[in-house]
Amino acid sequence: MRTKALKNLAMISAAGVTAGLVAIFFVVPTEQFQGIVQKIFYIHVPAAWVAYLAFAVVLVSSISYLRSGAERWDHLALASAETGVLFTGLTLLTGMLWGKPVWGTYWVWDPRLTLTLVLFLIYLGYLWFRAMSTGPDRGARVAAVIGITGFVAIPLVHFSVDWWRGQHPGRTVFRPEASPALPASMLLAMLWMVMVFTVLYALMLVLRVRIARLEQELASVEP
Amino acid sequence: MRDPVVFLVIAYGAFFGGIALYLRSLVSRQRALEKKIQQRSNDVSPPKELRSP
Repeated sequence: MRTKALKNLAMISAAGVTAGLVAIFFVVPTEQFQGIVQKIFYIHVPAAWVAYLAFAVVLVSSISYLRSGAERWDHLALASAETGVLFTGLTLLTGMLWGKPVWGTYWVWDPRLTLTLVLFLIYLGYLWFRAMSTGPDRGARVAAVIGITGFVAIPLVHFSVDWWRGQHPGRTVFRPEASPALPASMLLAMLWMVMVFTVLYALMLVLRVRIARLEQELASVEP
Repeated sequence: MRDPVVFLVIAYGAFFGGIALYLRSLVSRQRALEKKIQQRSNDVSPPKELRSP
């Protein structure tokens, strides 16, 4: 992707974030029971969705790498894993900052929270393994296996609120046999942020893939 | 207990601050790598005056 296209993507992301923040703080009503702290939801949930997307991309590109051996898939998997770890970390952080005023504590060993932490650690391990690996393929094949098996944690995280009793709120948007548990304005603001964060994710992905390619190029010209 | 607004401000600040820092680090990593590659290829290629005509 050309630099101009990247700059356009960055500008679209910035405009989208600004519009989203205006809607969240000046248009969408404040939730009746939780008050203003509920507004953390508009960054917490979209960040979690983007993390799911990022790890799904790791899964697909790792499978493609193992099948074809083409390095572009490995670069994509590595880039997406790094972005996914960032968004999972931000999901955990914003969740903790919501938990303190609402639950009275930053952390509880609830199934959703615990499994999200496990997911974060799996892909952090993936990145650590990549950073430590030497050799011609820099651990790409083993990392691909980690990237594929790590994805098992995603359905566990997502459905944990249905399968086990915990403190984390249940699903609010895609609920089985029910309409979303949110007023239209809140739902729209949340979906807008999902869209904007997806554009941001794409921007990060393109930049990170470029770095992976440059690292490879540098290794080839290194004396 | 602290005002909930404090938690809201910290959450949004940490979130967008984290994203901005990551994007900035990606851009500077890219620039540093491009510079290194340029230096390496300059080191490898012989100076103009030594090249055959």
